[in-house]
Amino acid sequence: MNFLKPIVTPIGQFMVDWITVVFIFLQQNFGDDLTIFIVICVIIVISGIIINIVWPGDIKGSIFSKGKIEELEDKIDKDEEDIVDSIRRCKDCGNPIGDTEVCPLCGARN
Amino acid sequence: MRPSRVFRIIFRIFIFLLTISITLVSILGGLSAALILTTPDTIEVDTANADFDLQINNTTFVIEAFNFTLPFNLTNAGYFDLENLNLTINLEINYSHVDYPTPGVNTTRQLQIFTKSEYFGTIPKGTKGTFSFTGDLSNFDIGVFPNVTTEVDWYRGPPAIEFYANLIINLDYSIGLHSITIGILDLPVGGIP
Amino acid sequence: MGAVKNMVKGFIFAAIYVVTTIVIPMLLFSWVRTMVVQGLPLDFEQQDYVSVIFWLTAFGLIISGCAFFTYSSPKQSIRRGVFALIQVLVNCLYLWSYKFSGASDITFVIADFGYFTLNISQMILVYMGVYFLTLVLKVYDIIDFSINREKIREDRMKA
Repeated sequence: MNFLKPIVTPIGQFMVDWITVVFIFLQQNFGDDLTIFIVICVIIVISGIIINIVWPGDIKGSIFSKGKIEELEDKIDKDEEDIVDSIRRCKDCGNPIGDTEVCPLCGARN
Repeated sequence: MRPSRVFRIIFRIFIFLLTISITLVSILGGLSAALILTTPDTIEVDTANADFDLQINNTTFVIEAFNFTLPFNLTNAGYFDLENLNLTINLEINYSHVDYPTPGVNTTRQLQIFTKSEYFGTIPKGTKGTFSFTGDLSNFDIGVFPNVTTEVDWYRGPPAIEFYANLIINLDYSIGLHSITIGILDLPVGGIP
Repeated sequence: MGAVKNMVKGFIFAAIYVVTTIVIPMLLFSWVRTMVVQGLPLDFEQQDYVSVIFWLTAFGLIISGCAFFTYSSPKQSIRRGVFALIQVLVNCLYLWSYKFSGASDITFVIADFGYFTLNISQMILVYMGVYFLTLVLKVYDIIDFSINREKIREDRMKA
């Protein structure tokens, strides 16, 4: 495994360096009181709840996301319309004919 | 599925397998360490059969020979082999020093007279390793030893000179992920007379 | 998946993280303190114990909070990616707290016998390597989610 050493060692050193700096900072400033950590946890959870209510991601959540979601819905509808439009139709009667040259309904050649 | 997601899944599976392997080795290693330490008589130091030979010249009172043998057993009750077993022994003497630090005052002193490390290799899982630690004059710190005729209070005791051993056992476990050090301190191993 | 379902999922994962990062290590340390070695009880330095438990709880709380945010977010969303990355970073700090607070190289005193030291620094370094790979994956996720944002949204709306 020695061939991995030149890659792994700098990575390990990088991880150790940044973690040490952050940890020493936390130890010096917040090393004796859990309050700040509890507050951060509560803030994250509450903001998570609020953001999920406002932007649930996959359904219309609120007025804030309405515009975007409707835009996407329009795009999806447009895609579906495009699929319907792309089907070949008979020039005379408008019946869908697919790949066939003769319309099965009116017998016209296309 | 987008190709970027396929690549991600492969990478994720690799990390997952790596994490699972390390976690399993760590958990089993931790459990083994607990098993080894909580099993009664995991470390058996046979002080009754410790051979302790100190020869002092009757006329010059110089230490001429010193041999020390200490048998010990170590049981590996865990799930992995115990690797790199290393035993360090420090021998200390406890005696009453005559006229120290001032004339008319006797002081009890504890001095380290011997230190040696010995490598014993590997103990396979589920087995008991039987070893014998040996030391001789080359590991002995002669300069520290008190002058037996003028400095030792022979009226103290018996024994007037007590020998104690500090045993430090180092070993690696779980493919080197855990290292264990066990220290047995102030173990009485003999005395003079 | 709606907001309620998202949040239920978030709470479940937050609970899992509370158990694995705070409750289990606390129980483990309490159990170690009751261990009997060679028929003698262990003595664990009170200051070490307090320090270890403090950092476990502190980082455990933040990890659990991030886990809630991450797992309650829609799949492949940028906010999920960002909080997953933050969670891994805090996880690194959490793991390192074992080393810094002395839990990775802790000495137990066995009264009238001696001591024993369990050193798990090597194990922590190996875990750090795994966390680095996870960190790379999370950064990759954020880039992927940002570049393919529209496509991900379309797929989500179709589902």
